[in-house]
This record gives sequence, C-alpha cells and structure tokens, in this order.
Amino acid sequence: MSIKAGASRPILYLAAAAVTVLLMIMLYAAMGGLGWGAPKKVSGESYRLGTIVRITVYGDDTEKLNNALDLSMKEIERLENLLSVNIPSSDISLVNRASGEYPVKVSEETAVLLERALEWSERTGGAFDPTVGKVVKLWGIGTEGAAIPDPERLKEAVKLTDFKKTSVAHEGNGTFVRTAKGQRIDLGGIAKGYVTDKVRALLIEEGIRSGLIDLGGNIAVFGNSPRPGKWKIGLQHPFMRRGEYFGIVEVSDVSVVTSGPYERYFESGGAKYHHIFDPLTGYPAQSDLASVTIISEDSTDADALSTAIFVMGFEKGISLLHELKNIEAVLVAKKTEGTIVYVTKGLSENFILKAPDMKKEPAVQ
Amino acid sequence: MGMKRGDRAMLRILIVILMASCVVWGIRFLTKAPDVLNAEIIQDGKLLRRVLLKKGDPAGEFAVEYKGGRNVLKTEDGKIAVIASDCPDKDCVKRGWLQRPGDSAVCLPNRLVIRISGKTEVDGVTW
Repeated sequence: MSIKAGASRPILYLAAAAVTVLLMIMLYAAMGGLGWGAPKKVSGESYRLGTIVRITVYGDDTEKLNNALDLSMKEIERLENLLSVNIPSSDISLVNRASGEYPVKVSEETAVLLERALEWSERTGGAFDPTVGKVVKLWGIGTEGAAIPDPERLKEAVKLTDFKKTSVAHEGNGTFVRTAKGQRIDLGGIAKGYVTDKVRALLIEEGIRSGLIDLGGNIAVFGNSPRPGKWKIGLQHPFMRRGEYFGIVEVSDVSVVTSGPYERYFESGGAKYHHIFDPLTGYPAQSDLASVTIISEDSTDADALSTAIFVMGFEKGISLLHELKNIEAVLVAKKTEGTIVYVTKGLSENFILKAPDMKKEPAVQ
Repeated sequence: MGMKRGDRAMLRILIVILMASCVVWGIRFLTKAPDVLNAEIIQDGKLLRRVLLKKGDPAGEFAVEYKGGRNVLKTEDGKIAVIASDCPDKDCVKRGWLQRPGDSAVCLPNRLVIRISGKTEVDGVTW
C-alpha cells in the first residue's frame, strides 16, 4: 500500500459520506414533492341545500376517510329533509302548512336550530328573522319565477315577518312549533351553518383529524392544514367574478362565512335585486356594505351573523360586533373615498389584503 | 488503483442512491410539465373526464349532457370555458375563461363543475 493512497482514503470516505448525505436529502425532498409520506386526501362533492357541497378530509386510512365522507353526505341529506323549505315533508314545511292552526311536533334538531334563529332575531333587533319566508317566496330569487312582487302582497308578507309570533315549546311528549296564521319559516340564512357544525362534529366523532367543509361557500376547517402553517381561506371579491378573492384569512378550527348581494340576484329594468332581504321592508337590504365575513368557531352563529350584519349596515354592524365575544369579522364598505376593508382586532394579523384597489382599516367605532 | 472490499461496498451504496434519486427526480420532471393544465369535468360529484390544456392549443368544443340539461364547453390556448348552457342563471357561462389552478365554474342545475387542478394559494374561497 502506497503512502499516497493511505493518506487520501479518509478524505475519500469523507467525500463519499458527504455526497451520500446530500443525495439522501435530495431524494427526500423529491419524494416530499411527489406527495409520499404526506397524509392522504379524500374529497367528495354533492348537490344539497340548493348548492354544491364539498368535503375534503385528510388522514392515513383511505377507507376510513371514504367512510366518513359517505356518512357526512348522508347526514347532510337527513338534515336537509328536516330543514328545507323546499321539501314538502320537512319539519319546516309541516310547520308552514299548519301556520295559525295547530302546533307541530318537530325533531329535536329542527327545534334547536329554530330556537337559535329566534335568539339571533332577538339579538339583532329583527335584522335576522327566520319568519321572512313569505317575503322570500314572493320574490322567488334563485327560481325561474323571480320578479318584483306586487306591493300590496309584499306589505302583507312584511306584516307576517315577525319572529315574536313564532314559538318553540318543549312538552313532555316532544317539542312543538307554533306560528301565526300565514307565517312562513325559512331557515335559509342559518341552516347551512348548522349543517356545517353537525358535519364537523360527525367527522371528529369518526376520528378524522383534519378537513375542510364547504357548503356553497360556507366554510369550516378543523385540525391541521395540509400546507405548512394555518388554513388559508380566500374571501370572495364582491365586484369580481366567483373565485376571485380580495383577501385571505389564515385560520384554524373555525368557520368562515361570507354574505353579499352578489351571491344570488336577478335583474329587472336595469336594476339588480339580491337575495338578502331587510325583514322590516321586504325589499333587498339597502346596505352600505358590499360583503360581510364572519369568523367564528360556530358556523351557525357565523351564518346568521353574516346575514344580519349585512342587513344592519356598517355602523350598527360594527357596534354589534363589539358586544360579541370570540367573533371576528371582515367588512367591505363602499365609502366615498373608495372601498374600505374593516378588520376586527383579533383577526388583524391573520388577514392579508390582496386587492390593490381596496384599503384596510381596523374595525373601530 | 486497487479497491478494497469496503470501497466497493461504499461505491455500490452510492450508485443505488444515485439511481434512486434519478428515478424520483425523473418522475417529478415528467409529471410536472409547468405549461400544461389539467381541467377536471365533474358531473354530480363524479369525475367525467380530464382535459389537458396547453398553451397554443387550437380551439375545440364539446358538450356535456345531464338529464336533459346541456352545457357546451370550449377549450383554446390553455384555457377552458362554458360557452353555452340551458340553465336559467347562466352563472357558469358568466364565469368566463378558466386558466389558473383552482379556477372553477359551477352549473348547479346541471350538476356540473369544471375545475383546474393543481396547487393553489388558498384551501377554499368563502362567498
């Protein structure tokens, strides 16, 4: 053995070791990019509650994920069959058909949701009102018969819109709902949130550690995001096409719900008539807000509140938000100086403004 | 230069790792193709077909039917759009061209979703 070769051997080994480590790091990085070792993702879509439902769950066991997804879709169908105003055999339809006549026995879930809807009605001074059904039906927005209603008939419908005339009574033999004659309950402003909460509870019960539930734009996330850091949810730009967002919220274990007039409307005589009604006038709410996003652990609350605050407008909306705990919000307001995005204090650091034509300000009175 | 047993073993390990790296990187390179987009046509929750969208592609059209409903889709130059629908709102047509990962058009009455797959900046959009 020559001296030269002996001297270079340790260096050779060192170099070889270095190259090996480097290659292994590269191999690992490349595998990560291919998605190996990352949690498996299963998602499903269906058409429920008058919209598109999309659920995505993450985990290691594909069979378990698929099973949980199936159960979720079935749960949504079951709840829709209780709560939908468009299904003749639903609890809500039974209540509406019996209005002013007799109290109707409903399922515990229908009762719970209606009670929560009535609580929010009280809390928002009627800006949110589940008895607005007659008004909603007269306008028919989202159906082929959408039209401006006859003023006399609309007046009648507004008179019937009064949450104080609807009551839920817990009796020994069940829970009963009583409404005033001609009243029509419509849970369209809160049901999606409630169903979202129920699905999230079911998925967690099934042992699913993380996922995203999207009920026609009502979103809830739970567990770890599939990307590094928190979940990123875009907020629909009120003046741009569907899917374009003006900002992003970075969140975990919350629901994010947005309400805006752009969601659903029809045009007549050059004017747009949208689907968020002011229960006091029976007309689409003349709000100074372009959209309202509520971030709350509870999706039922977020759903009702996003509708209510849109109807209340900026001033009243902000003061209600200040009274509420654990609720964050992003309000887009049309001001003379341009479009301003108001973000509540607790969310400020987790909101990223993307639209160059908007200005961000803290939501203070 | 004469090789010892240890050297040869080390060389073998190195070659195996090198080859594994080449294979993995090769797969990555082949599947990446940055200027090709993948559009998923999903009907009633089921993947109907995938359409590859490449820059410079000539215009093409095809129809998707669902229980008497009909949407006409057009592809061109790396983009896809719904250009005709028999639904009342025509939301899907108003959506216009889809050309980035995450872009989607939905036709609720015909239970049709067209979505461009791929990595997006957000996990979802609330509306």
